[in-house]
Order: sequence, then C-alpha cells, then structure tokens
Amino acid sequence: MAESTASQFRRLFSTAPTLGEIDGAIEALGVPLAPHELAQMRMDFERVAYMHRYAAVLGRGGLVLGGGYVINFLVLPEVGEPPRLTFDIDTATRRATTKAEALKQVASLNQALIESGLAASLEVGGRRIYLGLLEHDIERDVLPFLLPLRIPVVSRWSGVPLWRFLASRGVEVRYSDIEEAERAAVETLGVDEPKVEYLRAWVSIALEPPVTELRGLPVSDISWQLSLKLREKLLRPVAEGRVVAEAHDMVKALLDLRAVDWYNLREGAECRAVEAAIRQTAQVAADFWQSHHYLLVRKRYPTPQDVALRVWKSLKQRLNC
Amino acid sequence: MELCRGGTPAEVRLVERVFSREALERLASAGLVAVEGGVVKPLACRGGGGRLVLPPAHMGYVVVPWLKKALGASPPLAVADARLKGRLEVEAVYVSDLGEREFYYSPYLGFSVCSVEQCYADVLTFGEPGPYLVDLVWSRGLYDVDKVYELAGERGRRILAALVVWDMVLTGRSVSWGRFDPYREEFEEWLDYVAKWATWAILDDGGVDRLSI
Repeated sequence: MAESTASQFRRLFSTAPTLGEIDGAIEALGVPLAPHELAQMRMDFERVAYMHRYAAVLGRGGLVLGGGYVINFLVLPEVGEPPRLTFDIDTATRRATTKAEALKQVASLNQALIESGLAASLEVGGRRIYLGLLEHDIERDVLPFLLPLRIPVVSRWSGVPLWRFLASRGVEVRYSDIEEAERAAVETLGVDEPKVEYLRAWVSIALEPPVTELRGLPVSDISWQLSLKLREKLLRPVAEGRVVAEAHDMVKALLDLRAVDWYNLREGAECRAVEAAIRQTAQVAADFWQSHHYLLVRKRYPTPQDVALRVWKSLKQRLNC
Repeated sequence: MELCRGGTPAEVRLVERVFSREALERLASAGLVAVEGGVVKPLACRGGGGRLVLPPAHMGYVVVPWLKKALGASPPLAVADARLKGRLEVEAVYVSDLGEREFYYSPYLGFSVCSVEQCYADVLTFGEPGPYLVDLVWSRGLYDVDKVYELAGERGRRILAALVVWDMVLTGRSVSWGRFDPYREEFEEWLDYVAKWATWAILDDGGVDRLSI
C-alpha cells in the first residue's frame, strides 16, 4: 500500500536535527547568549548540526575533510576557542581524479544517505523528489579542479518555503498537500512553515592533501592547512595588492590561524610580512565583524584588533620572530 | 498463418512514413521486411527445416525501440514463448510469462511488436541498451517511465535506476523521472556503463566540455 502523504511528510521532516540536538551543540560551546542572539544561533546551528552529519558521511565515504569546517568545528572548540560560523564543507579526494569519477562517488554516497535515513523522498505530483541528497551545483561549476555540491535540507527557520522549492524543481503540489505538510511540520519540527535550505560542499579533485585523522574522520593535516592559509590567504593578497578584493577571505584566515597555538606550521614566513598582513586584515575586518558568522568570536574578541594581537603573538612564537 | 499476413497498400505506405528509408533498409537486411520498387512488403514465412523467422503473432513479439523509430544498431531481438525455443531464426529471449507482457499484432509490419514501455523494458533487461539510453533521456515525455520500471526485469530496473541516478547527480536536481525510487535498486555496478553511454545526452549543448566532466 502506498504511504500516505502525511506520513511521507513526517518522514521527510524527521531528517532535520532535533531542537535538543541544536540547543545541545550551542550549550556545549559555553558562550552566554542574549535571547535574540540565541535565536540567531539556533538558526545557524541547525545548519551546523547538519554539517556534522554530512561531514561524517563524506569522511566515511572516502573524502578528506578540510578547510573552515574542520578548523572551526573540530579543532577550535576542543581547545576552548569559539568558532567563526561557516556553512561550507571543504573536501578533497585522496588521489587526483576526474569530475565524472567524483560524481559517481556522489551517487554512491547518496545511496548511503538514504539508507541511513539522513535523506528522504516524497512522492508528490506524480514525481519522487528527494531532500538531503548531494547534488552537483551546476551553476557554480566553473573551475576545472573543483566540484561544487549542494545539499537541499529541511529547515525550520531559514531558506525558501518547501512548496516554493518543490515548484522550482517542477513539482506542483495541491493545497491539500500543503495543509498536510503544515500539520506534519508542527508535529515534527515545531514550526508551521517548513523550509528548504542549501548546505554547500566542495570536492577538490586534484589537491591530494596530506591526510591525518581527527575524531575518527580523515582530515587534511592541520599544520599543512594552517601554513596554506597563512601563505595563500594572508600573505599573497598583501603581496599582490589584492587586500580589498580578498578582505573577507583574509578575515576568515586570520580567525582560523588561532589554531597555531596547538598546531605547528609546516613552513616558515618572513616576520615583517606576516605582521603587516595581520595588521591590514584587522583594518579591513570591521566591514564584516558585525555579521552573525562572528557572533561567537566577538564574545571573546570584541574587536578585530583583539584577535589580530592574539594571532600575531602566537605566530611570533611559531616563526621565531 | 499470421506471419504470412501482409499489409494493404495503404498500410504499407504508412510503414514507409513511420520508418525512415535507412531504417527500412536495415529492416530489409535483417530479413524482417521486403522492399520492392520502393514498396514495403512485410515478409511472409521464411526459413527452412520447419524453423520460423519470427514468432507467430500470439507466441511472441519483436522488440522495436520505437522512440528512435528504427530497429537501431543491434540485430533484431524477439521475445517468444518458451515453447518456441530452438525454432526461431531471429535472436530471441524465451519467456514463460508472455501473458503479462504488453504486445500487439501490427498489421503494418506483419508481426507482433511490444508497446513502447515493454520494448524499452526488454532492451534494458535483455539487450545492449547503451545506444538506446539517449532515447530514454531525450524522449521522457513520450513514454511512462514508471511502466518501463514495472515491466523491466532485475537487470533492466538496475540499469534504468543507474540512468536516473546519474541524470539526477549530473544535473543537480534530485527529482526522479517518475514515482519510482531508483535508490532502492542496486545500481552502482551500472554507473560506469550509463556514464559512458548517456553523459553526453544528459549534458547536451556542450555541457561535458563546459563543466569539465
């Protein structure tokens, strides 16, 4: 017998992280938050909770995790540093490959996602549509060695309404279906307008990073990542006069370099150049500092200069300046 | 005998309109029709030693990939009742469930053929489906994909599932072609195969080069 629409919606919505899961992740950081800040963090940490799940699936599926996700959610909280919020998962294949081969791996990962219940489908309007699967983000696919993926997931507070998303995929729903969905959303999500939000993941197919293990997951060696950030995201923009164009990436790199207290660097750097780059980054950071991405960081470092001083102090030691 | 039934001149002209000249030549070279002076004549009984070229109308059918409106690159394939085993000249698959299959007698061709969905289900299940995957990709509005899925055997369902999954992954839209769930099938062993045959058709208009696939 075919599954009822209400039951399908309930199954679909139950792929979302629970409120307990979301609040637990926020509380674990031990950062006191005002009510309006907590509301913003709940919205953000719904996505973070999803990222933890997907990072585990991608890692177990043979991809190497790296970038801001690893440093901010696996490394920094372990040592008591608040994360900057990032909603991308950067990954790499262990060996150089083609996009076609990487996409075949995506198809297999999708089957694992369905079997594990992290993704689910809905039969509506004569079609079967899935949420929670990895998708080739074809509009963002512009670089030959980087495969962009997106993951449409059920969300309580951010994204587009579910029916709007379905319509964008060519699936029209009847009003009675919408009513069923609203009832199921109240029951399972605690909101009456279910939404769909995109998570992003990137697969680098030619990087071949050095691999280590962190919390049971394969990750790019942290020292290697930090050295790369220092060289490519802080020093190079300054050397090439691209500080304005790459300001936001520089701010993110500066914040990620807080991890140098616990991980060595793989290569040296010229002390004056590093100091100048940090100073310039702190100057351009003001434009981004009030974003919700940095709310937790601001609790410890009220101004960009505070974090710049902290990172420079650590780097001076590492680089023997 | 039904095999010997020919078409009326009007029916013959219809056949000419439905099939391209190239397709008719292939049909003729495969021994399925005779073309004389530009007129198509469905073949009557042929073959020797009590063997039949094709199954009698009620005991089997010829698999025609209709969406290409031709018999295609592969030799014609028939699906016939198991009782005909060893008695047909055409390459055939023998089955015991003929009554559950969708086929009908075509007075135009002079033999039985399957419905569009049954034919593609059989191509996927028994044949070399690679060259025909483009038909399934490009003509999705012309057939009922859920019916193809229902009528296909295990191999056919897996290949169809691999094709739909590959289409969803490549184009970044996780919407199945119908109501069926391709992820329920063990499709992985067919991913390389469908990627080889169908990637260009799914990412037409230069997509393969543009996306460095």
